[in-house]
Amino acid sequence: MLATLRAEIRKTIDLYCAESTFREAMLRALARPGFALHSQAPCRAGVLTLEIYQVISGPLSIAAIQAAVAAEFHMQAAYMFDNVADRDKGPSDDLSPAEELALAIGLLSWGHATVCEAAYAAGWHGSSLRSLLQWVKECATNCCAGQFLDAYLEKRPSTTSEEALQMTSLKAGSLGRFATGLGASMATDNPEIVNLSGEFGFNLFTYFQLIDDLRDACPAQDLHRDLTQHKKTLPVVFFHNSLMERNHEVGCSIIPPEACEKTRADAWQEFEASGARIFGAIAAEAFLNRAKANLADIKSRLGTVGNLERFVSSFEISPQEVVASS
Amino acid sequence: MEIGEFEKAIRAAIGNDLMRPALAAPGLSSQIDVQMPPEFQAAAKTLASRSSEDPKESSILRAVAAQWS
Repeated sequence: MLATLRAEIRKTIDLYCAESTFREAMLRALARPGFALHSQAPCRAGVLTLEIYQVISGPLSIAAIQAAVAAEFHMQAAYMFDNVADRDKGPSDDLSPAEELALAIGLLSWGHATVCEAAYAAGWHGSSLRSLLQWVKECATNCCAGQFLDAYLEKRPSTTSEEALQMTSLKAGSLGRFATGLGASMATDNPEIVNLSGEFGFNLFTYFQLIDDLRDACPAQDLHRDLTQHKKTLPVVFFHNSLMERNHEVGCSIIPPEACEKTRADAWQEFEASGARIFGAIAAEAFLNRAKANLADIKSRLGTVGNLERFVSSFEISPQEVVASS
Repeated sequence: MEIGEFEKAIRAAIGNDLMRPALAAPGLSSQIDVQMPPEFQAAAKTLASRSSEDPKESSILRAVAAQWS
């Protein structure tokens, strides 16, 4: 499945991108660790699109594969945006922020074009096609709104847990909804199944993001992470609000990076002591439970969920891993 | 999702100074009885359940406590 997806991604890039410098840069960028054309990349969005399609409709069609490419293009664009937003996090590569953003815009454009191709291949037309494209636009807009809020909240002196969760849900959940809803739309015109599939993707990807946020919040070995990056992820917001409540002199949210060597142990200990990690772990678990309930509902309607249970459990983090990630 | 209410419940459990943060998750310890939104109560229970199924017999409580102390 991964090989099929990667081959179609490459084929689509070759088809859409005649300009050789841009095309080669895109292929190099997508071959970086974590990106779709790297041999170890899980390609969560695209694979999930294919898995949900198979559950509903059986053997993969060209429409399903194109839909998976579209979902993966959107996910890769989000990764590239994150690369730009978090540029001071670690060593950069050869790409400048402007180049990386140009690649991200290219991926989004191709993603929308690929949705149209998939819809055409699946036989969508008329007012139904219009409704589908409207839905795609809403999902994509919500993803962008989440990315924007992620950057916007960094500038804010204080953030509530509601705002942090909204940002996470928009950013990651909407992408999951896009992947599963589009995959289901290629397989059926039953709106209940499509909506349920979308909800499943929304909850699952929100769970993934909350777990990633827990891992990045305050590792003992690397304080140059979300805690010092003005990030407003759910566990970090909980921690900062705890400090504010106790009148610690931390200003709005930031531990200066130059002070990290001195404060690493203290900050990590305070983070753990605040309850932020257990708060984040339980919040993430609530979304996992929602996704599992969606899956049970899908199973009751279709009689099977194929490989989806295995897909979920392959990303299901153990409580020990959450806590020991530092 | 009542994330604000859940935050208050966890913060209150931490703030009474009678428990370690690791013990602040209702449902993970029978000794603690803190009211929290039902969805999070259920999540704490499934998290604890998966923790108890860990082949290393490591509960989230013990793991947090070990790291914190």
